[in-house]
Amino acid sequence: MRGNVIVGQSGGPTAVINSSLAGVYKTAMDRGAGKVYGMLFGIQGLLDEQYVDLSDYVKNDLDIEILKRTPSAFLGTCRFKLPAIHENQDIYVKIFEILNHLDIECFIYIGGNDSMDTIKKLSDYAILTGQTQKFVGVPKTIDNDLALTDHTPGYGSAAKYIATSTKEVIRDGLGFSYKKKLVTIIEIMGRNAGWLTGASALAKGEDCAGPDLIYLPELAFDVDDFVVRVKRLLEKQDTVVVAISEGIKTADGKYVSERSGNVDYVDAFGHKQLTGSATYLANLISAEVGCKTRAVEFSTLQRSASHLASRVDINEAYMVGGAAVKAADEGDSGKMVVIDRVSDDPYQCATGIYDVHKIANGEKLVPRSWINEDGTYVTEEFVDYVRPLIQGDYPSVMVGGIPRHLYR
Amino acid sequence: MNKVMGNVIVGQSGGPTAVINSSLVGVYKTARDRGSKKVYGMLHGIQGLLEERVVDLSKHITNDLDIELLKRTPSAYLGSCRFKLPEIKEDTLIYDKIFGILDKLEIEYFFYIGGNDSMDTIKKLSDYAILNGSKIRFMGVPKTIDNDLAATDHTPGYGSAAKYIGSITKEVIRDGLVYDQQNVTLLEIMGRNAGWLTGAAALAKCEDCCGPDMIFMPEIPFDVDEFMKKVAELHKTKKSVVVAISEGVKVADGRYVCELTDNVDYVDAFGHKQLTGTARYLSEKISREVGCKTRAIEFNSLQRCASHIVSRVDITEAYQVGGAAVKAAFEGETGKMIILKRLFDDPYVCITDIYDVHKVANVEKKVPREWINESGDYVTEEFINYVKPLIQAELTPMMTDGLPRHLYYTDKE
Repeated sequence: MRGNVIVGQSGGPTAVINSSLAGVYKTAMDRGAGKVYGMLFGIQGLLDEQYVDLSDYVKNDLDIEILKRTPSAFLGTCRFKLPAIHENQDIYVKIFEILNHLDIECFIYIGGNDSMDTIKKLSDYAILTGQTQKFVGVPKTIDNDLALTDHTPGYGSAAKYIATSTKEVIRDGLGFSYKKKLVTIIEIMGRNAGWLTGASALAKGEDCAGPDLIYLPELAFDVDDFVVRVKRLLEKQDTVVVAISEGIKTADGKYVSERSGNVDYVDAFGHKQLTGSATYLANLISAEVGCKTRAVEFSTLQRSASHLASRVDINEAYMVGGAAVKAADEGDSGKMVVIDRVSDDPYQCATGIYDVHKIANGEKLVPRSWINEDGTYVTEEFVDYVRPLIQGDYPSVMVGGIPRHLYR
Repeated sequence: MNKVMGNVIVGQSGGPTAVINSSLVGVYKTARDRGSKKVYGMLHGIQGLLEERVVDLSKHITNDLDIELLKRTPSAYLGSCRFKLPEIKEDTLIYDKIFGILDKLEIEYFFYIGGNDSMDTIKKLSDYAILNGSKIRFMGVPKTIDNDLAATDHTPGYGSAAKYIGSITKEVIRDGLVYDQQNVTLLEIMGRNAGWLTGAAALAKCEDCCGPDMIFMPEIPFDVDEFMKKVAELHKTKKSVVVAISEGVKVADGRYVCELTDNVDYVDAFGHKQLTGTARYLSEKISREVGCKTRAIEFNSLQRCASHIVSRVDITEAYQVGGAAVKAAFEGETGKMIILKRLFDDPYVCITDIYDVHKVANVEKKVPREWINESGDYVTEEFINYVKPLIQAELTPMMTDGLPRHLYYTDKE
């Protein structure tokens, strides 16, 4: 490699998005890049010429290790969609001016569907205008809803966090339930795809019964049937734990979380309030059954709990970052790196390369055949798919009792 | 060491902690090492004992690996209860029943792991024993994530909860930096009356993290308007503002902040009055009045059950207080609880001691006013110096197939 590399991060972060950044940086340096720049807040920051020389922050091998363990996007991200080339050439002219000024040879963008769209447009523009920069995308999202790749970096660690927390919450309920009924509703991210919610099934093992019911957003949610099932479970056990996606909808297409807004749920300022789906269902069960209920939202930690990252995930995130640099250096442009699963057991994965022009902008949903017939649990196939992705740990570098992060 | 002839029984009570089972192990292991015959566990505390629900712990803890697993298992292995014994003069029948069961099991030593209420149980049972010439010895082992027990420097369970809160606060703060736009995150932390847990959010502040911007504890009345002003002020200099707030903060007239929605018909679909969380209430207010993106995050039950990120100091101390209770009882003590006594802050040195349960006042230990800054929106260095030693080092979970392994209860009788 003779020129420089620039790398950016885009969209919602994951616990391992910085491992991909480390992979890009390390591979670029190893392959002889002059400089590796990081754009701050993605393409939006780049347009304001906000960028840094990454070697000012990543000074040695220890920094690389800490960066891999740092949650959230080290460089910051944006949600910014480039216009179509024919709509607004000025913005492209500006971007390429900056890239040429920085002597950029490879442009690497770590993100989801929207970021791959950015890669497509920039690589098209380069070809149209006879410029030589190479543009390659690196996939990331906790939602695992990117098509073409077996799974996305970031998903495995989110799944591990969800499964571990679910297991701990299940056990917490057991310690309390003497002659008392307790229903816990756990609300998990993933508005349209149930990959994250389904991962709660991983809690089930020799030492844990797992959640009793799992509801994914792929199927219509039947509130009455849900209540009947919970009641039936309470006849034979004291604690019931239900995992639901934040995005479950009833057959009429309404989010369950909207139901609380149907009535006079109005706050001090006269505004209608929407509670979460879990809070709504916990209140419903408490009213219908009269027992104690808890609503637990796993919240932002699903994408930022680096203290519990999966080693497989961290390594794969690093690997796709490195593979993107290699591909760009070898002449690929307008491509994204994907993960191909070579074998389930033993689990083996390799990186592949895919043309971003062929990426449909659709979300990959959990196949119907991976959800049981009742629509209340995931199947063995689902579990077999996810389990390899949560294996191994990447313990935080603990300083003063708290995980250490790389900061800028 | 004298051979101990009788049997031992141990129970767990009240809300669990991430390390309450480490105390159970400390009792079990020390009792065995010191020659006790059987170590029974009461299921669901004194309430289960009244129904003779006891197990032989050696059937559950079969080897040293089980001991290590049990230390890393969250929630109360034996199950807990919330059950207050009546005054002895009010109802001697229940006491007769308990002592009848204990005598049948040939119990000589009784250990109870719990908070204030459990120490009350120890007091009453030991009094009753003295009144009736029973030789059974009763000892309390402290635990609570809330750290609100007086007499002891801190309680086992608090350090791990503080470590969890410090760690995830740091992760959430960093997450908030990701977008180049104004946002406010409100973290709602447990501790209805004492701010020990909420104050632990300050541990996120280190070389690589600026920590939360404000911390509000229940010890100080909360002023909503003042709070709104401070958030606006902070936004002038930084985009991402993070506030840690106790679930129990109250306004000057004594109402909980989460009750403020009460003035109007905050009624859910089932006709029940609803309390939103404190964090949710404030985040919605900011979102409306300031117009920026807000997030409310409740740290929820994981504060007391996140065994995957325990403090090694805490788990070791939890084990020690369990063992020290056995040693004291075997040496003749009764009606006492084990406490932790800090000898030095730096280097941190802490030992166990014994305290008369009759002297335990049923009051909650609050955060001292001077450990909260003057404006009531942060903790002081003294607070940090107090907590920091308690979160040090880790006891890594035993990961099996990608998840932490626990010792699990099955009926083995």
